[in-house]
Amino acid sequence: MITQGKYLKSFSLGFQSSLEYRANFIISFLSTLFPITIQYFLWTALYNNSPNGKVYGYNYSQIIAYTIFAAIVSKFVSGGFESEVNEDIKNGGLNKFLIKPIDYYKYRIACFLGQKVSQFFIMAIILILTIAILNITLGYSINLARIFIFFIVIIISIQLSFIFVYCTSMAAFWLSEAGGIFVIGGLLLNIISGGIVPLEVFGNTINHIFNFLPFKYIIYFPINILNGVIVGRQIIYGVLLQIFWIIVCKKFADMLWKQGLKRHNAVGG
Amino acid sequence: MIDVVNLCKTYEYYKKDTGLKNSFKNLFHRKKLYKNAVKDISFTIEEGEFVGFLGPNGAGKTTTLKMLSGILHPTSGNARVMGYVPWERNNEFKRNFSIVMGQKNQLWWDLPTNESLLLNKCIYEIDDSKYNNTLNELVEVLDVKDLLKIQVRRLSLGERMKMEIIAALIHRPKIILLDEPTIGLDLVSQRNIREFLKYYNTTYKATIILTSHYMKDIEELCTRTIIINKGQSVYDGKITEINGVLKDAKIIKIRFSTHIDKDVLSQIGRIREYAGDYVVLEVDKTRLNEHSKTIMNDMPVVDLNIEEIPLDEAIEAIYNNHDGG
Amino acid sequence: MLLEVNILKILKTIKRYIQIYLILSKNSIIAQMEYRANFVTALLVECAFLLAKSLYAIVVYNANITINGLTPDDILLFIGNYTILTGIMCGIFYMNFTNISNFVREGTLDILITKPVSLQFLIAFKTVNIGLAIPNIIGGTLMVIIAINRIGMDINFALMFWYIVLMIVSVVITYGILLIPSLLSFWIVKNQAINDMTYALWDFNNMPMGIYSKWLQRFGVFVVPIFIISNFPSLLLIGKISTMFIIWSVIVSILLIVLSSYIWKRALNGYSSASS
Repeated sequence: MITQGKYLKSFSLGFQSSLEYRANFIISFLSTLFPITIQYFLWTALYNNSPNGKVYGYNYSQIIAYTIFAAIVSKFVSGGFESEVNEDIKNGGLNKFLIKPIDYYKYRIACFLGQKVSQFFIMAIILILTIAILNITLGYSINLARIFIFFIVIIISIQLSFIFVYCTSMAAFWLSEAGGIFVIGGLLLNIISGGIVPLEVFGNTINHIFNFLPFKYIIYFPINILNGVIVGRQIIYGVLLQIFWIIVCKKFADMLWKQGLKRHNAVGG
Repeated sequence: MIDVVNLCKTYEYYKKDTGLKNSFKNLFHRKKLYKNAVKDISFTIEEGEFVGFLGPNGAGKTTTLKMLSGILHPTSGNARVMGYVPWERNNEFKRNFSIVMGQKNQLWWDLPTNESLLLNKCIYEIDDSKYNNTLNELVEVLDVKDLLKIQVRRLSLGERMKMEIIAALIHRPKIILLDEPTIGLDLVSQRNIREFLKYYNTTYKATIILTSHYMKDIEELCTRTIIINKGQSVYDGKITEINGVLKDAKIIKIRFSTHIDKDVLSQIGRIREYAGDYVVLEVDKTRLNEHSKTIMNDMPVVDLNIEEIPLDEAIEAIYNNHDGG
Repeated sequence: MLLEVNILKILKTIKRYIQIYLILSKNSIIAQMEYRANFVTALLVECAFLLAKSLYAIVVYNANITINGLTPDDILLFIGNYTILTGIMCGIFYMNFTNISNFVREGTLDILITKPVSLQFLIAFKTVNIGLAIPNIIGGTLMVIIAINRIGMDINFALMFWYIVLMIVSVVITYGILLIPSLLSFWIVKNQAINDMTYALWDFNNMPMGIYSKWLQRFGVFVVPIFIISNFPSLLLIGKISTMFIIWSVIVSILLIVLSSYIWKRALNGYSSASS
């Protein structure tokens, strides 16, 4: 079908461009190793000096696993297209989409998923290797069911993450220089999703409040499924909440788009 | 003043093919290609001359200019500007020349011009009285006094170019290199800048090299032009003599009172344009008189004009000659 | 006589470069203020990063554990110094170093090459970014003051003096260590990833080096001396630094200046030979 064709092409373009700067591609994955290293040493030092071998309710292998997985998953769910959207809005590139029979949201998510495919496989490989190594060195428990559920949940997480990043990029309609918002938004989103440290660090009350907000379900939720911290019925509730928030946020995104377009037209495109 | 001998510049780049399969291939192996930007260029320019570099895009004009300003090292060959080797980047050398590149600004975008000028004053160590004198004079001639305090981003393209020129001349360089200074400007601005450059050249005996692909720039300003095509110098001399280098032909434009047969006209010369009662003929110079007499006497002429072959064409022919020959 | 003339010349040159830097800073600040929204955004972004840096402090305080002899208050002190130095680094060098790849790609370097001033100076000090600097310097200073109060430290003139000396040495080392990777943009055109990696390396100073293993500490002090930058001034304040370390840091700063100048020359030669 013709409609499938154009989104498939977008997918392919996203994939090609991700291969283009090969040095960047490899090194940027490497640069995530550094924060992991710092956190590894921090947690190790904490556990070495801790009286009962548990910190924030996690045992050592779980916290190390969390640290590594969080970094990998953070990279995987991150946007990267905000600046392109910004460009489109600022420099009239949007016009070429508005006159064509193509839906901008669908175009963006198709490109996004195209870029994510190669990253998905790399992430999967690294994750499995890490689990194996952790099992051997720290006695981290392997459970095939949990791993399988993790991969399914992560695909839902990525949709949720996409919508958040997409909404953030709508800021370009109102701000002349939206780059800062992307950075702040991305960083704060990452922190409250549990992308750097598990949300227990923020105390019990805050962690409890997060149960009802969408953010936890992007990073903290899938990782702790893998860790065996979230089990059984909690998983199902979590997934339902993910889907709920996807629906709500997509509505929000549509509204932002409409408002943004009005504004875009008003200032002359 | 400027001596260039056998200057050459070659650089390397990578080939990129389209498509998914080739993207994968490029991940492992890329093909290196070489481009000869400048091939064996030589010329000498005396103090006070106003020389134009003419040539199509990618011919090597800008590359040559960059070598003369010390920005690039040549692959081989020599050059001396005011006795210095440009790419040794001697500070004394830098203090006495200036380069203005049409698309690259040296002025700070968000600040009024006078702030950028103060920076140059400090960099070139210009003392106060000299600075003020130069500034006032330049501003006067270019008529931009009120614009000094306005932020550069708010100026029109033409005004910005004038400011760039002021910034480039504030330290009174002896040699000025201009790369496409009138590109993108409206006709009035182009004229203003040309007049200014002519004025500056005659008043201060500054040596100026200008690159352009606008004929008018070269025609009005340069007594001498060097035509560069595909990295080589294909012509070096006066503009007026270019026609002499090539064709000994002139153009006759005739309007008749009635329709004249095409075959009759093609006996006289090569037909460039034909519209029944109007024709443009290309005629051999040596037979010009003879043919014009024939036309005037034997044909019902309403209007007749004799012209030079347009400069663009002549130069176009030089490019092509060089390609083929 | 010749010696005096040379010293005078050097002083005159220093004065001229300081003048040029003052104009560059003034221009940067005016230009930044032009875009008020941008300026505010830069401030907010840095505040967000400040929050991220403090996250580790939150982890340590909420867990309430003393690590290898360092109390949470000590750790706060280290994080504070790191933040101050990050502010200085961002304010003076960061934008200029990361823009080197743009300069190379867009040819902006060309106009600057023709100026009779050291190109290395023009590039490294081209702009001053107070939007990035202010939150870090203020936040960091607050952290240091709070930590000093909680520890109950005794401040005297000698301590202050050596602290400032070590901070200056740290800034010089910062210059050297950060310049070298960004010079790689002369050879690798799109340098984004190397820049990311370099500044991720900088972030190792977020925690005191005492939490790292012994071999990593030695590597970070003697081989790639990134740990010297924020750790040494902090160690001085809590009274755990040796004279040998102080001397070593001065030596390192000099070595880095020499090395970075050498690489700069090589990079520039390559640029002039390779581009068109």
